[in-house]
Amino acid sequence: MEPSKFTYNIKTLRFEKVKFNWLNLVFNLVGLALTAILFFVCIVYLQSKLFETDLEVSLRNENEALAKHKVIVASEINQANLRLSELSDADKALHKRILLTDDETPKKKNEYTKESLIANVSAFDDLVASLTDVTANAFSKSKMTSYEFSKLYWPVKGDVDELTYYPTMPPISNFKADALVCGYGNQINPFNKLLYRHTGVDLSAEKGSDVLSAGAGKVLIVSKSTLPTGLGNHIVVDHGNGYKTTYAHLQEIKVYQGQKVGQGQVIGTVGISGGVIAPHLHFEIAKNDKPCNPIQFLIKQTDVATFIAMASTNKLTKQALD
Amino acid sequence: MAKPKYIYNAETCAYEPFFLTGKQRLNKSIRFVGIAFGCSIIAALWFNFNFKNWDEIKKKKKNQALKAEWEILEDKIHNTDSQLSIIESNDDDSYRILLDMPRLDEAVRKGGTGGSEKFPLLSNERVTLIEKVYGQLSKLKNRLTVERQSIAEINKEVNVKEEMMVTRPAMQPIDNRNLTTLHTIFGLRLHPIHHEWKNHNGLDLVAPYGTPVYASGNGNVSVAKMMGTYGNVIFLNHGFGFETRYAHLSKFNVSEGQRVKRGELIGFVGSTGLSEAPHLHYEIRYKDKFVNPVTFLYTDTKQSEYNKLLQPN
Repeated sequence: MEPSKFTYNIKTLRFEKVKFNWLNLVFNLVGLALTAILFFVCIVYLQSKLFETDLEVSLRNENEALAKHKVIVASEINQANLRLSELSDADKALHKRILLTDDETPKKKNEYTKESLIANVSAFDDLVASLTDVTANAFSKSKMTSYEFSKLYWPVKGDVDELTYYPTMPPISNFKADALVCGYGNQINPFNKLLYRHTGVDLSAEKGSDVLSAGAGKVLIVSKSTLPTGLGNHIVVDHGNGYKTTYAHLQEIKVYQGQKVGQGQVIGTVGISGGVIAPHLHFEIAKNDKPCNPIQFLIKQTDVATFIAMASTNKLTKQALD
Repeated sequence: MAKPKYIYNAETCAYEPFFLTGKQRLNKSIRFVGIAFGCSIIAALWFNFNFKNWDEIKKKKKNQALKAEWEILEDKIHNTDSQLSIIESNDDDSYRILLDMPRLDEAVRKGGTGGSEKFPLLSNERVTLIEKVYGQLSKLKNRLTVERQSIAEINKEVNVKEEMMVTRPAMQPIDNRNLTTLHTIFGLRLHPIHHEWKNHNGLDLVAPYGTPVYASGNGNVSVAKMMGTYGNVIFLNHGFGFETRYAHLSKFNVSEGQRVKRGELIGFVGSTGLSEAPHLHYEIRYKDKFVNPVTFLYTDTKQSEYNKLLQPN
């Protein structure tokens, strides 16, 4: 036990016991805490400086690698982008050289012109399909009830079938709007670069791909030619009602004269016969031997957007492929 | 100044001033430091258990920042990639089909997978992210190279096609305004002079004496001389299997070996050789066989369009 401490009081001239001082204790404790904090900071600092954990080593390596290669990758990307822009310039130049037009995607304007209104006929197409279903159902039902009753439905179904005689189907499979390379009307002749009357449309397709009959009908003409001018190997199909379609520059002809063909039937393959500069299908529709714009007919399996795109392509003057 | 302290000494019965000896002072400070150190050790242990290493935290933060930058780089690569894909699809789905060239094999385009060997990495730099990005980058570079070669190839093909287009005989060699009659009889006909059935291998374009005759396509003048029944005749070799002949001329405007362009004035209508009246006998040969020139004339061309061809190229 520590002996008690005294102080000398000058006023009373006596030794008095030192009283316990709270302030002193707090002062001491704060000092202790500050020192402890100082030590703590030193320990943590030294620990982090002197010792490295495995994670830290890997992180440090990774960070160094990331920082170093970031610069290399960035410069490589810049180079790649430079090369890309060169390529896209070359691509544009090529487009101009091959198609004689600038690579401008048709402006997307939602103008409801005559063409786009006609395009809504595809709704009519659906109607025809549903009508066919309805009549087929009714037919099978009536077949069960009475033969006489079923006879009543025959003419209706026949009328529906007759609609397939109109040349409404795009003559190449997987038809898309950009397959239309050159429209109907005044276009540029590829050989002498002069304007001339293009009586059909040029549909771009790979050599050897299928050519389909636009409508049901009878093959009127099958003509073969090796001469590098004119229509080359071509087929004319008579659809009745004065409609005739011509499919030119074929590689192979798969039908014979007088054969009956159905809508969508394969009648030949795309080729480069006749006066062409590229493999394509030259497709014409004529009513009473007068050529008309085939675009207006191709409504089957064509949606409104495709139709509008085709209509706007058709307005441009482009280089034909034959 | 602190007041002096005293302690009561029971032996001497006196108050003696109290002071700490050096040893006591040392003891006291050691105790103080010891307690502080002990507390700090406990705090440090608690800190290490409950929080991550301070340095680790710092490094992690830096790592995250760097990875974010790398993400941007990856994005840029994807962007370039998609733009390149557009060019590639133009190439494959449009130009190559139009030019009747085979599609580029997918394996050629995407070839050279492995990738990162183009970018040597140290052993401690083999981070998955870096390897992945380098892989993408080398694929992209490879595709760029392939596409550039492909475009060069296509351009070469277009050159050939363009040459084919300009050399094709594709205009009427006599202006419609000067043309009196176009005899479209090709093949067997009764010869007007010999009065017997003979093959007529060309078309007769009747025009006044001295009417200019134009080359119908680019080509080389292989013959330009007097030649038997042809009279003064010009043979133009167009290449690609085509040859055109212009017979019964009165005068030449070109000489043998000369290169002419479409629409260039090569001679004048006359009646030399076996001919009754001034006219141009126009023949086209394709692969050494006579073909009917009528489909090569484009007779429905408008006058204003025709005049464009006669401008000096």
